[in-house]
Amino acid sequence: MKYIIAILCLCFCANILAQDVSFKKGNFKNNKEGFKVAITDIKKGDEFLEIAEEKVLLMKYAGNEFKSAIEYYLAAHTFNPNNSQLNAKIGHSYLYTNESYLAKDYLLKSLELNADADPFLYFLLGKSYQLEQDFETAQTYFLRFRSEADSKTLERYNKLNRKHLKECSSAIENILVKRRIWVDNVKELNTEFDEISPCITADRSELIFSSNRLGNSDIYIANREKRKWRDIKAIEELNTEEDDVASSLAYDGQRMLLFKFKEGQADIYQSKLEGNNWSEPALKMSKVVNTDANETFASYDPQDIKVYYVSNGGRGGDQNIIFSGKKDDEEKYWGKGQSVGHEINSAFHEGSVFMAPDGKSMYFCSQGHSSIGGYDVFVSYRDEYGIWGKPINLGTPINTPYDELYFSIAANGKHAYFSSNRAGGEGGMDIYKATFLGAPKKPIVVTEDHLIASITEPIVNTYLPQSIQLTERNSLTVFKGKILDGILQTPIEARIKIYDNSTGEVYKSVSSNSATGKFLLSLPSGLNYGISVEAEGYLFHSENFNLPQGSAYNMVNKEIALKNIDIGSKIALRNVFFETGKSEVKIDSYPELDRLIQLMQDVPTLKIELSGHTDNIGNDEYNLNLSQRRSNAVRAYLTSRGVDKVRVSAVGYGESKPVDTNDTNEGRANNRRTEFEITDN
Amino acid sequence: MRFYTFLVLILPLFSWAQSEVDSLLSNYENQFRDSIAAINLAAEQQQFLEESFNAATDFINLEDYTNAINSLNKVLNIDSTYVDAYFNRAVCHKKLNNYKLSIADFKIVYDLDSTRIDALFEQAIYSMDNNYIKEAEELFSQILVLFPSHVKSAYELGVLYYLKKDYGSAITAFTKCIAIDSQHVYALNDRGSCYRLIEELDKAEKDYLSAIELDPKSFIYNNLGAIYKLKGMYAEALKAFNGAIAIDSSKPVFYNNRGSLHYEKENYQDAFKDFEKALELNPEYTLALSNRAAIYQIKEQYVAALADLNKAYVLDKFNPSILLNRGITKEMLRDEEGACEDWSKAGELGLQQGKTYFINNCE
Repeated sequence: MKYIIAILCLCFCANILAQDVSFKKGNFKNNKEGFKVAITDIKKGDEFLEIAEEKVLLMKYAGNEFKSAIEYYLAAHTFNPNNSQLNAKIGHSYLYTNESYLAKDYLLKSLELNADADPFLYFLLGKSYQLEQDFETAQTYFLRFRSEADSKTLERYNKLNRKHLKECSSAIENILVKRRIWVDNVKELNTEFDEISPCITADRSELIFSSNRLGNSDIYIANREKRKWRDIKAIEELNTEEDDVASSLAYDGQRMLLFKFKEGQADIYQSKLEGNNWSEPALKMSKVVNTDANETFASYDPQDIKVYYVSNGGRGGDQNIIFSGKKDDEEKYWGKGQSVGHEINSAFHEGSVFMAPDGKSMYFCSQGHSSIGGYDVFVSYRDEYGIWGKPINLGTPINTPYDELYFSIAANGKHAYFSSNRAGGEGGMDIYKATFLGAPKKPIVVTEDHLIASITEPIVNTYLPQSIQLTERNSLTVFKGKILDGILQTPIEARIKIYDNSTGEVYKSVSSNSATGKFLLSLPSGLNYGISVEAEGYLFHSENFNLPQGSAYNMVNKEIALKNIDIGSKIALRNVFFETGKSEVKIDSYPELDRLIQLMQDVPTLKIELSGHTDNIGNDEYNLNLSQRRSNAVRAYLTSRGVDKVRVSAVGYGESKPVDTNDTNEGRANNRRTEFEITDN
Repeated sequence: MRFYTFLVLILPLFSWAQSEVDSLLSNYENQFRDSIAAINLAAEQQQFLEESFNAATDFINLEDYTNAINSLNKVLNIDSTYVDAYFNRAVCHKKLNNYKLSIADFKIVYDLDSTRIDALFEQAIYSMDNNYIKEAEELFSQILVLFPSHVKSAYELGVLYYLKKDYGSAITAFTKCIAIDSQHVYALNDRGSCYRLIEELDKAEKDYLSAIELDPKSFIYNNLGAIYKLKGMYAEALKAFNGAIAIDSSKPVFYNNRGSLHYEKENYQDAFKDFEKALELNPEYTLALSNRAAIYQIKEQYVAALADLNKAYVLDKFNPSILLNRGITKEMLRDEEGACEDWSKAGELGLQQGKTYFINNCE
């Protein structure tokens, strides 16, 4: 319940707050003086509003009058903000200034305070919604004005109301078209005042514009650096105490058209760039062209024969685009200004003109044609007969229901500059830059080809080197040897076979030298070998041996003694020695006798006869006895070393069995000997 | 073995000079002993050579090419005519990217043994790999004079001409290769690609189809798809790209290319799906990143497009298409300076469109 009461109270309060407080004494009993002042302010404001309205109806600029009206109205509004009519007047006035975006709140408040207000409020609201680009709502209000306004008001405003309805229709069509254009406020150039008529050099390095930031309108220049306009300064030599406004630059940037006011009347001048300074402006065209009317915004044509300009010398002060051509090279004589044609000059004002470098395109601003509100920028193309075609609205986002004026396009066609008083600016007219993106840039969609197979799937050509089979290798050992008679150590020619014991096969077969008993061969080292030695009359000899791996100079020396075992074989023991005439065996005989002992041990069946022999020196008996004693001595040595006595007999033969002559020392030495004979085996 | 015999003959002389004469031996025995010693020394060296060669082989198989070269140097110090050692050393130098050393060894191989065509072939391949095109061309031609049916040389010569953009000669070489080996799928594919590049699309299509009949490889289907796309036969192109994907669904390139087909048909939804799939398979696949960005651009999702293009650019700074597309995106994001910079770079990288955009929009 408390809540319901609270809500009702709020509604009641709101109703009280929204109540239209008329300017009646009774409403301001406590502040009579303030009331009087407010009434006075409203009256003064009304005076300006009346003048301004008349100007508007005549399609003339009334911004200054409206501004003056606003000053008074706002003072009264401070005193009484809840008067519907006052709010409507303030909104009305704002609509025709550069702060038109402020109008809507006052107008809506007016309607809120008094729903049965003058239907003219609908006209103003329509215009306000139009500025906000809510064209459908705007149309609704314009239509409501048409249907509800009294006949007198409708008669006064019908032309404008029709115009605005048409503008809304144009806008609804226009806004559907999506244009690849960016529009940016060139903030570095703009102030809360008006910046108008931007003129850009062909190389876009300099921009000349006009501004009233210091009171009257002066001409300024800015330089482009890193895509920004910098070093903004007034062109002092062109500026006067009157309004000076730049219109356009020649395509070479060396001349400028401007207009100047003298005694309230504007004419077109030209200044030339001389070094770094602009020359004193001189009247561009003769007085035939520069009439008593105002000739203002002008543009060179590319052939530099004609000048296109705006003049308000039309019927009823209507601003139209006019052109004039020079009649001589010295430009003393000019043809009388002629309209560019009815296709361009509308029933409303044309505001500025710019001839594009191609000479066939005219950009101009107009309130007429298919404007979507205020001045819009249009382009017209000249046909082959020199006739300008139907203007084409450049559309949004360049054009808005606000004013767009002083359009000039750079030589590259990519950028354009213009002024607009649209909402969201720095204040007043601001300079905007339009960037034409052109046709959409379609991104490149990239594919990847696998055109070459061996690049896509490389041929596997992995080279795998093969190991080599290691050569079987044994270093060779020199196998050197000698085959000897086991007893006598005399060389024997024997057949030698070397076996590879790992295979059992004969590896090599050689014979020892008969004279030396030697043999020489090479055998792979590191193996186990068998060797067999055969010689006639000797016991077969075989044995195993290893040849170790060794150095390059590996050498194995082997002596093999063969055993003589034939019955009847007689072997002289030449290395058995005795003292002369004695029978004691000398020590140096032992090696040979030991070999005989070894033979006896090796061949246990062997039986021998030891025999002693002398030369013929001395008598026979002596020699016979001596030889017997010597053979006995040898036998004794053998038996003393383990040889069975029965296996050894000893006989002395004296000088009876010589083997050589006794006539020589050598022969006698040969005859002196100990022999043994195989007697059994 | 030839070396071994040589050593047997030579080394005794050397050994005599080294050895001392054993006074207990006869002259003959001394000589014999020394000759055996020489044989033993030679055999030892042969063993060392063989072991070094095999060690090098093991190193090569382990991809330790430096040690392989060291081992082969030992081999060649013993036998400077060992052909296989030179060949293997050439292979090692090649693996280590020592072009000159590798080529020098391959040349020695062929100089020592003129039957070693493989050395000539390897030289040619390596020369081609190192962009010594003229040398490679001469070598392949030399092989084909010596062995007219050397199919590998015929094929590689075709590839070489292709790389030289001499598509006529490449076609001739691939045709020869196919004449030698009618089943040569690579030659058929590559000849088809040459025909494509000289815009003889029907012949290209025929070769690709023949190659697919022999061996239905995914990349050949991809090439066939591209041909159909060029011929405006979108259904067939789609079928071919589908064929490539059916054979190998792991390759992002096939999805990317199918996506481009969808893109061309303005079927942006399917194109986007394919580019997404390509990126799922390889998140760093720059072409798919760039192409997905193109879809984002179409959708006016410029921030997303820029993210893809920035990533693609980081991965591939020299792809002019990526730069061009990024320039477009930057322009739409009002970074005109950045856009101009990208178009300028794209132009510098040879993309005419980049130059045009720069001239028309930036100067």
